[in-house]
Amino acid sequence: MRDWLHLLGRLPNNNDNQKWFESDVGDNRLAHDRKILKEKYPDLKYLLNWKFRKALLSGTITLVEEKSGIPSTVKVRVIFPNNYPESEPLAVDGGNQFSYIADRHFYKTGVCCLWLPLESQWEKNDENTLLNFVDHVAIFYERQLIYDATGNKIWAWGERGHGVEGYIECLEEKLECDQATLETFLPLLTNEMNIHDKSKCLCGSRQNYGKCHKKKVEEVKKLFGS
Amino acid sequence: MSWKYDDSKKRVQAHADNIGEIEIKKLTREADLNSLLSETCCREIFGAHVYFTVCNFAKMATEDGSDETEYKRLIQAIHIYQREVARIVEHNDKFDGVRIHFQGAKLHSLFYRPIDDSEKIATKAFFLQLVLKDFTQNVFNPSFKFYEDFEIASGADIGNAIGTKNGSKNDRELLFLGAPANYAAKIINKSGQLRITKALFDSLPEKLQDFCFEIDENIQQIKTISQEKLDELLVQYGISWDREASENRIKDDKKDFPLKDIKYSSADNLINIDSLGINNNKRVLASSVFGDVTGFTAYIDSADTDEKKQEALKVLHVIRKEMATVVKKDFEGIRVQFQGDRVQGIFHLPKDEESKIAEESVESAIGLQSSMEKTIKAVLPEASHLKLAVGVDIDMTLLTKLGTHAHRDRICIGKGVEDAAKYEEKCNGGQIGISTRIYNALPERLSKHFTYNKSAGCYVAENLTADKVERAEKATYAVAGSPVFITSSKSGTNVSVSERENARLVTPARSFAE
Repeated sequence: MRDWLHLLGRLPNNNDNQKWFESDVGDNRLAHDRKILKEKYPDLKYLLNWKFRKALLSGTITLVEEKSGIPSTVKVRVIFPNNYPESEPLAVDGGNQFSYIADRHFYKTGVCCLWLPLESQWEKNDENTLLNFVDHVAIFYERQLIYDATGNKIWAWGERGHGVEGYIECLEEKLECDQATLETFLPLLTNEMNIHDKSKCLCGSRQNYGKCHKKKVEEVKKLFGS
Repeated sequence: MSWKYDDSKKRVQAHADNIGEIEIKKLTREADLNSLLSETCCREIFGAHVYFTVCNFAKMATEDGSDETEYKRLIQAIHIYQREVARIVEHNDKFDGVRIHFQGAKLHSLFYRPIDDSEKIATKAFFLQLVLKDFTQNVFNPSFKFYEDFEIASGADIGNAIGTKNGSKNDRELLFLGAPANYAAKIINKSGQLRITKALFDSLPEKLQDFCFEIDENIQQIKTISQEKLDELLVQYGISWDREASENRIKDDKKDFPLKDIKYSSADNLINIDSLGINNNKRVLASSVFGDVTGFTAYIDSADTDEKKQEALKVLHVIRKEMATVVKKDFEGIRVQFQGDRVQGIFHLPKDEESKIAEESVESAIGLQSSMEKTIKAVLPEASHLKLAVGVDIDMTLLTKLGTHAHRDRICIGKGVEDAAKYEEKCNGGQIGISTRIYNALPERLSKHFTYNKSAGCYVAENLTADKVERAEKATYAVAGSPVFITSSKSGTNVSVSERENARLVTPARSFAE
């Protein structure tokens, strides 16, 4: 109990006295999520603590291999922020089955690092986004099992570098450039500089900025909210 | 063919449900153990277990295939050797022992008469080793002069072991569980030595102890004794051993089983080992698999109440049946023999296709580990501390069924058989040990799970179960940006790299960590 309360303390708090599941909208959302999860992940149950006014999804995900049919069960908790579904929940390991190390993409508290915040798959307006989130949690645990099965060699479906490296990798990919070019784009990304569409692009392509990197830069700026 | 979790779990549950109430009593009077013992009628038997082997047979069975007459002579030699050894062990004016079975060329025998008379029982075990050595070197080898000198080795131990039997129709074998049945085989050293444990040494009359010397604190070795001295001692201890009569029986056997009647061939279809005999033998490229339940001897020896012993016996029978089913039903193999808590399987199809035979046998080894770790422990939590060690090797192998009437043993002899057993013995619980030849024959999807282990002398995979093989294969296709197909079913969630009906298509995000 203490650790998830602690974790909840880390979540954005909009100081709203009414918890998300106490409103009519939230209540409907809860009913919808509950229905979907009951069908797809029946061993995950909602724990609603009315005294502390917290919501938690807790239980197990059983991952079954296709040919052999061998089940592997992992314990999971999903902790909802107060402004759910505006912000995404946190997935936390519930079974100490794996070591909480960066190479396994866990924080020391057991929180699963599903994705770089810039690449979040959380779609707050999609009513099925919680199912998609839990699917990603299932994939995350499948990756843990693949990591074990390959002798700690393969992190399936790719990973980002740890810390700042991960952000740089992501930006390089989104802007389709190398690190040196990325650095020339930084003043643009942080609005410290503006560039006319007809000016030469900063990437050195000799093309106009408007026809070269403009679209990609705008997309990244959107992600940053800048 | 493949191993399936649901099928295995159902079988294990059925095995556990169908075992009747197991009765374990101390054997207090002489009995025909073959008639008395069954899966549920078990006896704690105080006795000496003796293993005796001729080391050259395996090498000969693998190498001597080019000359047909030579190979037939080898079959004749093994057959006649086993018949005479069985006579020596069992004849009541000689040793009055029980020939449990031959494990390839290795005899496993038991002496338990007179009941609980440790000195007399130990004396028989002591002399049997000397007599079989004398027989092999001075009677049998001269009868098959064209062979190089036979190398022998033996081991013996004394104490309580539980006798039981497997319950398959037409395939009933005596099984002995406990330290003496296990350690007697373990102390064999293939260098012509006759070895006994300290327990057996301590049970010997003092005068016979003088014919032993210490190898280490737990093992004694019997000294070389001249033929005259052996004969003198045998008379002194009332054991009849007539070299000349033995020679005559071998001559008679040679006439009864002439080379012209001995036939052997390869096999296109799965061999029915029970249809084999002196006139119908098989010589095939085969992969041998040995699976041994590590920790079982300690488990049964530490069982200090009837309930715990019954529980251990039930666990053994369930494991044993499941192991046999994995070999026979899940994969295209033959269950050759149960040897206490060990199962021996063999794979020879498709004929002469080394890589496919190797693959099938290693898949079966993974199936055995999967049953042990995933289904047996799920159904029988009391087996949770047990592990399985598996050894696999491939070579030309002689398959037959030899012995005396009504006591014929399934026989597999070859270097691959010996080495598979050796790798299994070198492996720890949870490991699969395979030879370099098997390793080189495997597809990469399997070989990548094995690394060379210097102390085991073979390639070893740790805790390798079927799901790990699947996941490692999946990793090959799980590249960044490729989608996965998630399906939910009653048994759980499947994350697949191949398209599936009613699946949710998800492109995994790249994992991150601060």
